[in-house]
Amino acid sequence: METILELRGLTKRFGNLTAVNDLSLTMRKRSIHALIGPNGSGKTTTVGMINGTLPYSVGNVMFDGEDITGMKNHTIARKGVGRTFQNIKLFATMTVLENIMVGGHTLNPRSTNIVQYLFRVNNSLREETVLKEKAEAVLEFIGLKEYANREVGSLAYGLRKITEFGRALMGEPKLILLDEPAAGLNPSERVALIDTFIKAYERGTDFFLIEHNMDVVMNISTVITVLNFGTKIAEGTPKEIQTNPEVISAYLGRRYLKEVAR
Amino acid sequence: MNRILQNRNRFAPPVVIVIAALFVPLIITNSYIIHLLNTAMVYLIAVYGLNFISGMAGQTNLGQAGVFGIGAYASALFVTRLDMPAWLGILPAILAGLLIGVILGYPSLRVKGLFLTLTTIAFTEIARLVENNWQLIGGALGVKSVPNFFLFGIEIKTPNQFYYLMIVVVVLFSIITYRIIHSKWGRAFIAVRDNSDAVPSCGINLAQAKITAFTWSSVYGAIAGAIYSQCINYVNASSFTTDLSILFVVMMMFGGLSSMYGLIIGTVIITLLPELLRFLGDYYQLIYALIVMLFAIFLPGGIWSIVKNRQGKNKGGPNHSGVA
Repeated sequence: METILELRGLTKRFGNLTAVNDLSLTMRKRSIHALIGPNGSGKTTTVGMINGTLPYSVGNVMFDGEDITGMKNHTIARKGVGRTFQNIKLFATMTVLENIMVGGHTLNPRSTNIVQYLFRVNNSLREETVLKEKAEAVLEFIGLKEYANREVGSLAYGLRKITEFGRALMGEPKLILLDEPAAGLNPSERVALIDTFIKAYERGTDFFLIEHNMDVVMNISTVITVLNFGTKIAEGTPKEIQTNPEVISAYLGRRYLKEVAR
Repeated sequence: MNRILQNRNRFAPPVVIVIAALFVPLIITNSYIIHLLNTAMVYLIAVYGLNFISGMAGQTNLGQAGVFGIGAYASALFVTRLDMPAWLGILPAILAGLLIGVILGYPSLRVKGLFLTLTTIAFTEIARLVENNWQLIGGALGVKSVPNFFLFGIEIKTPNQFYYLMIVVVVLFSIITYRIIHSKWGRAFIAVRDNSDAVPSCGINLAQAKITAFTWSSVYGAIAGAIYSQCINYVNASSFTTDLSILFVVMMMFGGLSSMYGLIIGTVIITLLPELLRFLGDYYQLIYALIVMLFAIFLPGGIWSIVKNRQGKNKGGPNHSGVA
């Protein structure tokens, strides 16, 4: 099996605190890989290191066969790593459609700078139309077509989460990093979001998922890696993780171990 | 069919405005008012530029007067010292704008925070002091007798002639500005203002986007300065103070941020306001400041936001990100 993402001995320290310690993991193509762990175990830090927002001095990140260690955030995004944020980060004064269009900023550029864009009128009009049509197709796919011209600020929380996911999809990524996608959603919103993930997964996008909600993690992940205090303590299928004694003691405390085993 | 109707809606108001503007000199015979309108149109180009970096990308720039001044000097010196035709003076101004954009923008926009605001204030002051004290470029006397534009052998010398020239220039700049605002770069600029953290994950180089917006702002400002030097045939450092930078910001905010109608309304009103308030005599500054302050408090979206909100309510439909 080919790998899409590989972390080799990633380490991140903030002063004396080691947030992530010598983390290695291999994510296969065509999988939904979840990274779980209690609060403060280094999950979001890991995502930050993968997509280039957090600098790190030790370790390597390989993406789709290429070493992307130390590359800038936007370069990594262009290579095909999309992401969503724990606290939605949308462009509040723009419409849903425009937000999605920004996600496709670097897709097949016919004009690479503004001067070119201004002089080659036909070319640029076509580029704009193509971008818009593509964004409309994404909206159709995520089921938000009727909201295209609404300002995102006026949307319900769940719909904003889906919009953000659509923006990531618009860049045609091979891999999307999902940072706590289910946080703050009610059960029906959660179902809608997960359905959208599954649809996108079936169409060919892989997911690296960080999540607190066990319901979501156990239902959609193919592989789960568990972190505790920045160190990997277990890895396996959802079933294996659920019965892993180390994981149970990390989440619930050692004294629950016997009860769960029963 | 629907599309054609939509387009007609979008393009009809500008056409009406331009046609109306063509009749203004026939109605207003006071040449001083026409001169003020000319100044407003020159300022409008600088304000269009400022809107890219401050209105859209949300980075406060208090250096537009410095850029404006350097554009004016570059053009005036080039034309008078080298004895060049006046319109060629636009070229050194564009070059100056590009250089300022890169040299000042690169260090001050790669970092977060107020650095651009601070460096641009300092830049304006330094530019003014150098212009004022450097004898080689005229010192405190400035550059005198900057020649007029010649167009098809006709010298543009009366305010009315300049007015019509400026209508053409403003229409040209309005089209360019409109196209940039509604391009993927325009959206990237607004994205920087709305949520800069999310910009790189869309594959956009954040620093590059800000520097691009700033460079366009500077080029517009320098071109406006070059035209200004022809408008008054005279360049003097004392006109290019931080006060003027603030005036540009007020013009941008007063009408409505990042809406082109708003920018036009704001620039024209703020340029004419001293004339409209002249009857106040000594109290002019006080009342002027009060008006601007009241608008900032009670109408932060600018005058145009009243019209836009009403449109939004009636149509209940698409609202193009506050960009008219």
